[in-house]
Amino acid sequence: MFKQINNNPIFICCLLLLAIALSACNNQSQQVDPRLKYFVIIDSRVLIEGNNAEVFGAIENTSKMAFPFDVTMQADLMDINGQMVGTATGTAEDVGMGQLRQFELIGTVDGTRYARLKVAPISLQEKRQELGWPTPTPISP
Amino acid sequence: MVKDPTSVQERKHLPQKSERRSWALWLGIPLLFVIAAATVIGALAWWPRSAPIVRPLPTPAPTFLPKVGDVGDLDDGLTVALGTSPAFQFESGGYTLSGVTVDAQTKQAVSGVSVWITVPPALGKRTAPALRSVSTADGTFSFSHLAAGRYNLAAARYYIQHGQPVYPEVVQAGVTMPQQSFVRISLVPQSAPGARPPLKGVAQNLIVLDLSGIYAESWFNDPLLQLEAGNMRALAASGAQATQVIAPYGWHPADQYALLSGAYPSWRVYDLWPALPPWGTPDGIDTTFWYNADPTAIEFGQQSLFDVALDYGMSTAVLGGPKYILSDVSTRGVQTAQVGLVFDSAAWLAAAEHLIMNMTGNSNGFVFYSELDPPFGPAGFAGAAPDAPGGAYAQAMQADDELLGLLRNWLSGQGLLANTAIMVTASEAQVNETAFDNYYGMGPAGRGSSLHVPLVISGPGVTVGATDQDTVSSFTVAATTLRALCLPAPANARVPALTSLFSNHCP
Repeated sequence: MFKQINNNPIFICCLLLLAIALSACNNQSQQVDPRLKYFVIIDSRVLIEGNNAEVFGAIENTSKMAFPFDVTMQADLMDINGQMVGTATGTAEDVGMGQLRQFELIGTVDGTRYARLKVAPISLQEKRQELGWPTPTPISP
Repeated sequence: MVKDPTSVQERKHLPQKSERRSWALWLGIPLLFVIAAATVIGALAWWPRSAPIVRPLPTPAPTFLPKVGDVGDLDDGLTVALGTSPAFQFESGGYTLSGVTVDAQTKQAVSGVSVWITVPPALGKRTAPALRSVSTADGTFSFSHLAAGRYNLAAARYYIQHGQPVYPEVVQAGVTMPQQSFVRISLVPQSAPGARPPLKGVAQNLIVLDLSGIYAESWFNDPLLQLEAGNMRALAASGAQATQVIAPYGWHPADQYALLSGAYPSWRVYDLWPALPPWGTPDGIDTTFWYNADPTAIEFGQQSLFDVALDYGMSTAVLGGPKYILSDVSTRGVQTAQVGLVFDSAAWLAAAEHLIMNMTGNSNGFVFYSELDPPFGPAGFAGAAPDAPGGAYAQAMQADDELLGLLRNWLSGQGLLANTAIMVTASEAQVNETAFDNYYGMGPAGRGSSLHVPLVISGPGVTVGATDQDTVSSFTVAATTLRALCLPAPANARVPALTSLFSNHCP
């Protein structure tokens, strides 16, 4: 039975195609988005409460790309020797061309060892606005 | 009927052709299916996903609940919980307010400026959280879907961008929509050199200890509390002191705001300044004081002493207890804030030492601020009176004092005492018990001892034994602490530094 399946050309084709597809997915996860270099961390700071870490800061889109992006960032929290003692992640939404946006990343940290912070954008998601929403009647504040 | 041989022959061959066709079908259909599946997987992997449209759910109308004042002394904060969407903005429709942020000196556009808009606070009326926009590369910003009405705008940029100066907060009040659909906000630049050259006779580092909840009289004048104030008095003897420093508020989270910025949160809360109401009386401030946003939202506000320190390349850190107020002023310029620490002398000291050691490598120096928050016990708890022997008040005071001594000893052992100025003050003096408001009387100025806070400073450049006896607002704390470092006062500070406490000169 196993020998029959093994000799089946369809099965081999399927395996080949599946391997190609999975390989594509794998390459995608490893590929660094070249547009990330346009997103610059202007400021970052950390708030530690117990083992919880909140990293605040600002990111700037220095590109000339027309659409805004949701920028996902990761903060590496390290000890005095550069060893990781925590991480935090989060997203700054709708960071348009030339714009600066505040962000908040959430994570955990060993506060007794924390000494240094490094924040970097790790992925982008392009945002396209959908127009044509209905306009309700204005009301008084 | 004679059967066509050809057809017979064909029939004979039919099984072979049928086998081939079925083989082709058998091979082709799954192959097509696999190709289609692979294409879909690939497309999903390669193509960016379109963002889902999120329609905000309607937010229930918030309820205005005035809580704070010296009348009730509730310890539950004063924040009115409000929705994130202000009532003056719609999902769509309404009006658009546009504007540009410019440098007041060069008239050039300034990018990256945070601009906030909200309705002006009104006595006894619920207000709304602010909307924020950030100016783009050409300095423009806009708020859309606004209702008609009057608005307040504020703008600031505290981040150092591309070697540009910082722009402390400016307020533009009374913008009327739809009559004014465009505003021009001029921001006054402030130097942010990013470095601080060492100056002889000037402290490199600064430590500010906020001993909330203890009367100034308890530290220095109460003969029954001498044993609980030994280290505090020793610090005062080694440095200088201002004896009549009066907090602008009594029991109020804005105390910390006043201490760190040297100013009232000018448009974030209702502000009757300078018409200070008599202490202890029900008045507009006591009963209708509220934040118009969640204080943990870390939104707009005046420049703090941390912001100034950062502008000069210093490191900044804060150590706070569970009640530490996370406002923009108390966190924005703070690189590391460790809060929520349930008070324990050993744990506090260890955390303080850790935070300080992390900053000692910075040649520009550091600013470390900590609010000591020992437990006073619940309201009505035995020993809440300052002079109750061995009571909760005396124990809290003793814990503060002990930590001050331990920290100084540790700094000395680390060789940091010689180049570090230590300021001890309080964002509030009122003890955690209404029955003991103004425990030490109303004082010569009639302001009440519940507003009387200590201010002691010791370190390089401080005149040993100097005493400033003039009555002064605790707004001076922000400017005076930065004067110890020869740095400028926060931009919005209302009271200048107490220069009489210093013997050195700043360039």
